[in-house]
Amino acid sequence: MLAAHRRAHRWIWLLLAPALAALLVAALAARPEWPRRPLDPAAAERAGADDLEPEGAPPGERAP
Amino acid sequence: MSHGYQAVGWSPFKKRYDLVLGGLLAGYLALFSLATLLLRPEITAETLLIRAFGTAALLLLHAVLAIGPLARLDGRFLPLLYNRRHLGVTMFLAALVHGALATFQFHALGDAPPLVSLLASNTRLDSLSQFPFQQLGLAALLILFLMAATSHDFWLAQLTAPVWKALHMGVYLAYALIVAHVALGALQDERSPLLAGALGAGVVAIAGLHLAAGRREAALDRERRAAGADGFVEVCGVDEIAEGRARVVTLGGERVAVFRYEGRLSALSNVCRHQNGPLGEGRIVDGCVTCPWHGYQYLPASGASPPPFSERVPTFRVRVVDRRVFVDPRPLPAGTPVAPAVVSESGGGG
Repeated sequence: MLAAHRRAHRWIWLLLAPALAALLVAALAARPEWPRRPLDPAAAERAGADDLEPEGAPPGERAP
Repeated sequence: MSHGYQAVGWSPFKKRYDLVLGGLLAGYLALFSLATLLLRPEITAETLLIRAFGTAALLLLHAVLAIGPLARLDGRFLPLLYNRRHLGVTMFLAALVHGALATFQFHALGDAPPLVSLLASNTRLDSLSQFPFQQLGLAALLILFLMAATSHDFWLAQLTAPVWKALHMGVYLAYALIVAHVALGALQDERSPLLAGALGAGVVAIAGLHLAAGRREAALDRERRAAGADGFVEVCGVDEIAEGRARVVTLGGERVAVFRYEGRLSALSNVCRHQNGPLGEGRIVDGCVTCPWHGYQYLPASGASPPPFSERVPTFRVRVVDRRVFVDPRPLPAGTPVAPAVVSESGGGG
């Protein structure tokens, strides 16, 4: 491999590794406390979910 | 066309490689589907296929990215490097199926064309949990398509090795986009720690391997050797080079391979013309320096490939004094014949 490519690889991963770590942490921290409205509410009900948003509630808002 | 097109040169090794790859992929898809149906019997067929092909592509991408640094750190992984592009193309195809199914599932039944819907339906750039993650996946897919489309040696010859390599380093951008796609997409809904744990472990493994391999290469790059009055640099002792093998040193910022063969020494660039493979990690076969990656060969005394091939690498002057090897770090034009240094048993040489 050329010296320029070796240097590029090193710099890419020196920058990418912490960026990906920060992204994963931020994504996990950003998860909402309640599950989103599932595609099949009946299936979720069978699975035991009891904190579904009611019909028509926009995502991100709790039921009244 | 300025270069002749050749179909894939199938060899028994390639056929075996692809058979194993196809079998592993089919086996994974079957196992994933079975496990998902057992754990979530309510899942629809479309969702199951989207997840199966998506996770398969993600696993394949990690395998593709791991092979490079693994081969640098341990030569036993070299056979996996030989047909890595087959792995890459298979990964792209799995990602394409995933993307096509997802686009059809979520964007094909509305008023807008599917791609327009995919690009315009979600503009919540201000929220991580609601981020338009599908666009990230589309961007990664486009990069992977470019790489798959140029994976044949025809494009390598057209674009030249350095340009082709630079293009294919786009895989790192694609990887970052795909990690973001999963982290801001499926990970926002998935409650099981399995996906988060697997994704985190994958990122740590790939980053760790690349940083470890990079650290090893950086140590070699930092080598500094003082030149004598005649400009020649002492690199090692004759006995430090095994018969038919090479000693690789860094001179003037680039790697130089000094090969020992039949009582002689020759020095040439360590960089193969094909895909910049490490010639110095190869060996002398049938009188030719043979690249360990794909078998490209060069005559050690001239750096030129034997006829009918036309690849050439730069050569370096070399001499032996009191069984110490000296190399002139100024490279000669590619293909320049240089008289090999003779290694005599009594010590000294020319």
